[in-house]
Amino acid sequence: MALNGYVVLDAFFSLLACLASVITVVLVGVSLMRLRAGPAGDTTWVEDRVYLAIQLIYVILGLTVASWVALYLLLNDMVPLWPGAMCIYGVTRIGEGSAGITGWLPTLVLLAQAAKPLVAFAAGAALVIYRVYRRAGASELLPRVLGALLVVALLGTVASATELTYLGVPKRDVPVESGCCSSAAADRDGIAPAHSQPSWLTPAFFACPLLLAFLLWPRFRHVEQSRDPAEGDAILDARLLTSLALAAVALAIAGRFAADVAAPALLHLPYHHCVYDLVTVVPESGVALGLLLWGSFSVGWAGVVHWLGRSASTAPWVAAESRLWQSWAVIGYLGAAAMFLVELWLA
Amino acid sequence: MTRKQFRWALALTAAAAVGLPSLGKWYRRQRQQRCALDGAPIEPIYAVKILGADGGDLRFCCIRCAEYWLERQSDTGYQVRVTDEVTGHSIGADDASFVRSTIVTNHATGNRIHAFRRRADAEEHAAANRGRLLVGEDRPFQPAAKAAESARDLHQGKYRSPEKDGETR
Repeated sequence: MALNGYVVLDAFFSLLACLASVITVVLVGVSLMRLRAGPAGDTTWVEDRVYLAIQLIYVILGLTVASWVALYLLLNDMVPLWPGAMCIYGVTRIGEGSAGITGWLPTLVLLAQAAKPLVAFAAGAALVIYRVYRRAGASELLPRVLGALLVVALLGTVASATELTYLGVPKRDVPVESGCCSSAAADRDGIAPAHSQPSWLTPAFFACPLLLAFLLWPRFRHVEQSRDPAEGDAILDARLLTSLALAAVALAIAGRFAADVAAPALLHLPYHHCVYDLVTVVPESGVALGLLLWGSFSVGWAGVVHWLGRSASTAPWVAAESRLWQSWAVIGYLGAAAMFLVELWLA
Repeated sequence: MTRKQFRWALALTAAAAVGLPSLGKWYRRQRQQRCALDGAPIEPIYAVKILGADGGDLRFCCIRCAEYWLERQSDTGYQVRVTDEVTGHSIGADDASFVRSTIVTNHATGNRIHAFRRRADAEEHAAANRGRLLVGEDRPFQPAAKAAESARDLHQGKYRSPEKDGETR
């Protein structure tokens, strides 16, 4: 493929992320082995390595976000190079139906795109557990912290290796079969114009964040605090489980809503169901989608800290940390719903 | 997060939720170009671009405006690009499929002609909106046959009424 600035930038970020991830895997692996083999109570050596590993997680997170942005800038920059591609979606279809390694290009770019938010979520989860561990000084959480760090490092390695592979596969002579997103997708999936989308989609999209905000609203949490600890914990468990399930549903509905309702309406193209174009042409919709993702991540982190951070000595810290992320989730969900509402109203 | 911090964060998010879309809308409106013939705002989906031999380009709000402008020009060598109504992308007029349907794109000019990149999209639009595919001399931007007719229109009044177009279905 043509070697331009974005390829170099993306490759540089991915290479550094890969390096940092591999170092973290080794560091955490050695720490886990040392923790198991060493005498009980002697955790100083491991704690020092965990501190270093956390710094590396920050580096991996920063590089992942940077390479995420660089990947989309690169894909957008590649659009004029393929006459059959009209937007980023067209570029992601390069290699479709080809033999050999080029046939893997669509899968590789899909994996590279999906792995970034996964790394970001896992890094956030590791950091919230680490916060509880540091605040409470609970050494019993050390294996869980190390486990979370190992997951982030492994995901970081896979994500950056996937992106480097995608960048390395030659693409210059691979034709794009699918052409434009809307036409191709419409042919393949039988997509209809915006006005013929299911009528439940828009109400469902707005109902999910509002319901989640209601479930996670600070005043509602006082119900748990006013009861005895065991009963309060059971209610919190149920509430977080419901919120997590609803967050997953909200994300799925949001994906469909962005493609089938928001994109045609905000782009003023009734047949154009392309989220890539939506974010490029109407950048504030990217902020709204980001807020929704932030809300979902926050619910996840609240759950992670509640279930993985709990031990005999961490209860108050876990409760405070869980409340914090529930509050962020409320802000994210309400912000996303309000922003899409205003955007659709202005469109 | 204290109650006060939560309220602040919520207020800031609410301000962003209202402010950013409004700002974005205003910015895009500022950037919206005007028709080179009548100065009307150009709806991107119906935009027509005429590229001159000197490399300059002019943009029009509909096919009818672009035709009027072209017919006034004495020199030739212009390249016309229309917008595919499905994707919003610019395509050469020679490669486009045109449909005259009941949908008026511009009430000032009464333009009912729609451009599509793919013939299947054009046929779908025609079927859905009681239109017909324009072929041969009926296609827009056909200099010989249309020039005389449009010149007559220009002498009688600047534009034809939408009702007149309806007769050709």
